[in-house]
Amino acid sequence: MIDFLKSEWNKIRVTSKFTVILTISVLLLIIFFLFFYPNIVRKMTLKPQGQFPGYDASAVILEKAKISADIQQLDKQLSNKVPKSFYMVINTSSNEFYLYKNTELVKRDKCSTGSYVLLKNGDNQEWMFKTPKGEFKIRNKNTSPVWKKPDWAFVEEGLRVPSPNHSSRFEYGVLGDYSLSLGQGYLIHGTLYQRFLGLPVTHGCVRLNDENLELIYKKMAIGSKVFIF
Amino acid sequence: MKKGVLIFIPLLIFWVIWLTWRALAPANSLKKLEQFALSTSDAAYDSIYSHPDLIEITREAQFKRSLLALKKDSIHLIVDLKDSMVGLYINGVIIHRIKPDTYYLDPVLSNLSNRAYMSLFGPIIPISTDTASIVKEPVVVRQAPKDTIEAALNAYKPDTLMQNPAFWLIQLPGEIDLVFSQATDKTQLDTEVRDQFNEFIRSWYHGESLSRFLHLSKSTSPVQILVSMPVDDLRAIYRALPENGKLVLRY
Repeated sequence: MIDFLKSEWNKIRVTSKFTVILTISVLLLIIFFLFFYPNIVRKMTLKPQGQFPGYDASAVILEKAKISADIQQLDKQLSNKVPKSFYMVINTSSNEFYLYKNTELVKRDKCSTGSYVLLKNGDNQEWMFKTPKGEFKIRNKNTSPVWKKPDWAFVEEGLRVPSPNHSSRFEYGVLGDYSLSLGQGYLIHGTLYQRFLGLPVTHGCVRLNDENLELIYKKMAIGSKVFIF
Repeated sequence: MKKGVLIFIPLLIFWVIWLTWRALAPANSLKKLEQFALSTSDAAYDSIYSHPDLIEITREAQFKRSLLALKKDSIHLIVDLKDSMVGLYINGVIIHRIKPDTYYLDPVLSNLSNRAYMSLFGPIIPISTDTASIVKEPVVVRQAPKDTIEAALNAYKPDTLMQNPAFWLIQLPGEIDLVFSQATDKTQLDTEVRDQFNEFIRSWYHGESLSRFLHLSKSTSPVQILVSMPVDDLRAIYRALPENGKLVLRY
């Protein structure tokens, strides 16, 4: 093949200038054609689908008005679903919270959410420390909350689990000045470990710093919505 | 010279046939998608909606109807390319809203009839087939310590490095691929995962294409919607959605 090309090239060299120019031009034309050809075919063949049948202008105007009225109704229904008062959105991936009043963002800051640690105690017991996702409501609000330590808190520290109402289960001051309950044992509360805010370190609760906790406590009424994702 | 021509001409013809076959793929895909959409459509469609003045508002109305029809107790994905927005939605509230860095809508989809569009994208779309490089739940398994000394030694350090690169492919009805990717690659691993992910998609398409060519079938091209966004947002969206989540899409 190489010998053949060499001999062809020698032949071309000895031919007139005109032949060389012609050959190069033809090759360039072929390359040009091959380069643009697929796009040309694509443009020629890809055409908008759906032939529009003829309608008189008044029918179209009427239909347009009808659909626009529908859209207005739908917008109203959608905006009615957004809480008018304060609500919270918690992003468990970035460990941030957002406090809104209707569509206005009031506050955005760091928080801490579940660590996704699966704690195993032998083969019998295990606990998953993750913050649940979905829509929740503030069910209860407390000042100076006391933490009643569940079994996992002892297991995690390598301690023997005491009886359900043993005095060692009750810890004062570790949840901050306020707590807001989301149900099923999940709270929004303060923390002694403020350096961990912004990191996934909790057992499922949502931790805030003191200032944000006070703001949330004051703004969020019982029944206010909390969206967690 | 004659030998050269004898080799060159058949090669050229073959090449032109191949190019033509490939170039016809978008048109074939469009026809296939139209047929699929119309065969699966069960909703009444008034042909007046195909009027150019009504297309946009019929789509907007349908999009909002679908949002209202979504299940109230679950988080859903909304992709609104018309308003350049991807978000998470629950019970009437958009809880997370992102403006994509870039997006690409396949020309096949731009040329789809409004009737087919309403059939494919009008209803709520189940996310039944998807693949992602993102870990859904970054679970860390720990054994309970035997005593307080062991507990102190193994004190949990939060692992913020569990942030693998984010690429996500959702297969929509009609073999449409909705591909989310992180906007920028910061590490070598990011680039490697992006290459692997693209290769995964490409190899499937090339295999399909070659098989069709050899079986003398009509060529089809991949129909894609590509959306890129910041990696943290993509990860948050992916993790927020429940298994078998739902999608409402508009373009």
